[in-house]
Amino acid sequence: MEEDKVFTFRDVKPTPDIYHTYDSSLKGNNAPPIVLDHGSYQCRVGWAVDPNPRLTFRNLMAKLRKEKGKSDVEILVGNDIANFEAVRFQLKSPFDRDVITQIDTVETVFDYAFSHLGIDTEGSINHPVVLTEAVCNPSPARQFMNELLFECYQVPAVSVGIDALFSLQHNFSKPCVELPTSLVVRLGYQTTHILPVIGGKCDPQGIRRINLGGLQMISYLHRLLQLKYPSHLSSATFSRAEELIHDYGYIAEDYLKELSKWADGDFYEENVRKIQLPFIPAPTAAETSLNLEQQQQRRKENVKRLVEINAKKREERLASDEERLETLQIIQHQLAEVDDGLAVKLLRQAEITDEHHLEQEIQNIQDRVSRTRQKMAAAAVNPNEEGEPKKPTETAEFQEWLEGIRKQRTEILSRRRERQQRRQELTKRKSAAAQERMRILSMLAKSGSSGPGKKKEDTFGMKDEDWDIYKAVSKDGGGSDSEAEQEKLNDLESALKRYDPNFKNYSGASSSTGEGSSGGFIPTAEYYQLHIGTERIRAPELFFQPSFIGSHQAGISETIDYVVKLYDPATQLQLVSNVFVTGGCANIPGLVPRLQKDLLSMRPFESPFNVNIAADPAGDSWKGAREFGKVAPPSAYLSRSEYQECGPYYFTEHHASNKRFALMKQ
Amino acid sequence: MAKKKKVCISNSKKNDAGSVTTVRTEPQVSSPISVDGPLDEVVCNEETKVDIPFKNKSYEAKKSNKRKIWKGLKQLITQERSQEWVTEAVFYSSIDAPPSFKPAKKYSDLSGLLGNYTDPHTHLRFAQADEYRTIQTLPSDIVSGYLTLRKASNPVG
Repeated sequence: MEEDKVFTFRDVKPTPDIYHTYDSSLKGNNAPPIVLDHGSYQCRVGWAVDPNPRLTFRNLMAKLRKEKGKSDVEILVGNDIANFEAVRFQLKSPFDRDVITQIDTVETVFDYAFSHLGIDTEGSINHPVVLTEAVCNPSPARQFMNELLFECYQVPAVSVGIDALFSLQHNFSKPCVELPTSLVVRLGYQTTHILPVIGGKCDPQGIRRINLGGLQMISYLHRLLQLKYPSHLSSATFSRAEELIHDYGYIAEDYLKELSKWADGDFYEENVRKIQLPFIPAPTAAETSLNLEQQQQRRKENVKRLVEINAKKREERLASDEERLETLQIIQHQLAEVDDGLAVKLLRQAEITDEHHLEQEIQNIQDRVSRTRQKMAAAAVNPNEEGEPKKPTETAEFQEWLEGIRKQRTEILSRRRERQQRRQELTKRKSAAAQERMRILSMLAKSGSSGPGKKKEDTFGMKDEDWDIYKAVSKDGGGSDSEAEQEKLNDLESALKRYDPNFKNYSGASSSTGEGSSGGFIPTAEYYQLHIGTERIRAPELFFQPSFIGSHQAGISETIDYVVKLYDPATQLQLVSNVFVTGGCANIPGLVPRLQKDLLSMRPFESPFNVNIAADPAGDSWKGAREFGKVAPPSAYLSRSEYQECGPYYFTEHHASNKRFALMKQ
Repeated sequence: MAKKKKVCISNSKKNDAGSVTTVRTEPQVSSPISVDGPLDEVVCNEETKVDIPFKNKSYEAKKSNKRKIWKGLKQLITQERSQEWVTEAVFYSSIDAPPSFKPAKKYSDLSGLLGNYTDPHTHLRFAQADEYRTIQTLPSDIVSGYLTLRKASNPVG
């Protein structure tokens, strides 16, 4: 296996934004507009006179309570949030899908943005604001925004537009003139739009929105990873899934063809991306075997020491026995020679009552000595162990024996797994196992009271088999992992560990993960790798097949087809002559070839079409809005007085804005 | 609390000076290394409003008096539609993409390959025999996870 294909997560941390200075050139009568690309993924803020946005940050806010129950909160916005995963559950977005619903969060985000721009005027912001908003933004959401900008920040004028159209203008046109006829495909973070631009303006009747975007794509991959690697649940984070898409995701030109390529083993090996998770470097294979050897060595030494202690004890006992035997024998000899009085004295000295006892004692000690001698001789020949199955000597026989041991072990393991599965199934009410259990229980209950009047004799328990029914209905699923079984398993495993050179290879794969079991699982670097195979194309394919996550909506290509067919053939030709792709997710490689292929299949034979992609799909909206802000006449803005006169729903139309519809006249 | 107040004052001083002298001092204040720095700063913003002079004070006062009724996207949409608009008006809710007219292709839940078979027990789709073997060993939470992912889990049936 090649080692060069293993990658690691970068886990990029955002760098906090600096506070910019509020130059005197920005103040005064012809103050430049503030341009705010207020996207649901990133927010870009800057001055219309700058070529690039001053601030780019995730449009998120984290509200952290320092102590429970206290109102002491810290609020972090955008790039101040160092680690999104740490505060995942405190994160708040101002958006619900692509519409602003949390105006308080917007206020916090705007405070952050304007203060980082360095604005320090008292009580108001004396700059017009160019803002992006959702396609067909609901009027109540627009009211929130107008109220906030005009009343909280007291800005002089506001102009709202659609980000994708600003991007189109930046790439193909000039601000404040009619947009070229084109079909804009906007791949956003929460939504995807198809916007037909006809006659210089976006035609609202033809707009269609697919309710999924980068967020859904990332969370799809995130979930897939979690399900594929349940043991790395906490390591496979949302931010990392995002990184995987950024780094390895691509869109297949022909999804099915690409899938069949992935099904091939060589192609898979070639293209799979292995991501190494950080893990505590476990001892390497060589080290572990060394450790095992060391352990064995130590064990052997222990045994040896024990044997030695035993031998020493035995020797001591033998010596004392022999000594006593000698004294007793001397006494026996002396008894024959001396008279009775002296004999009694001698016997009392040796703690013996009479002659008969003396003989018995001598016999006992002699037996003991000979037994001990035998034992010592045996120990010198073979210091053997008990418990483990003994190893036969001949190789063929040995292999057979080893095979038998292995088989026994796998049998025990599979039995255990079966039980575990059954236990797991029993926890769910509708599983087959649980239903079978309920059936038996109800049968038992019924047989207890069978028929009115006719009292049947209760013979339950007469036969031994009757009691087996409790095994069948017990929640344990008939027998638990018994201790005897565990012991047997341990014995088998230790035998394998000693005699089978391949044992540790499959020890990881086995389910001998029962805590404290001797065949402990050794984590390796491979175990901590995430393999990103078909997921590389599977997640981005969501844009084309929303059915992946159970959405019934059509994918991008199908919706393009639908939208194009709303128009007459001449307009259709004009539309497809410039299919313009923009939005952050358009950065995924392979999007343009895919759209070209799909358009080829849906358009009439030999009819021309053209797919273009924004130079910077994510950033061009801000640049377009900035160009617009630089030259736009005051009529393109909703001024303060107009706002006060026409109401909070009102906005002014321009080339890149939504279309304003009037209320019915009374 | 005493410490926080201190940080507050020093920050505001720096901000005042920032516009005149140099910006380079600012990133130090909010650098990620000094963990307390940016956190306290934001808290200061909330408490004392030193950093944010540009907001309308009367709006702030009005906001704190008013009880806010939060509305979700659905409520906003219905609120929009409840008004009497001209007939050709296009709403947020009317631009939803049409449903797919093609039958959804079936893919293996595990490998993502074209999945022609369904395990009758778990209802997971699979492409090859060895995937089926894996499915059999899957615990129930993973199985239901895969099913919910494609909105195919049915808690009733």
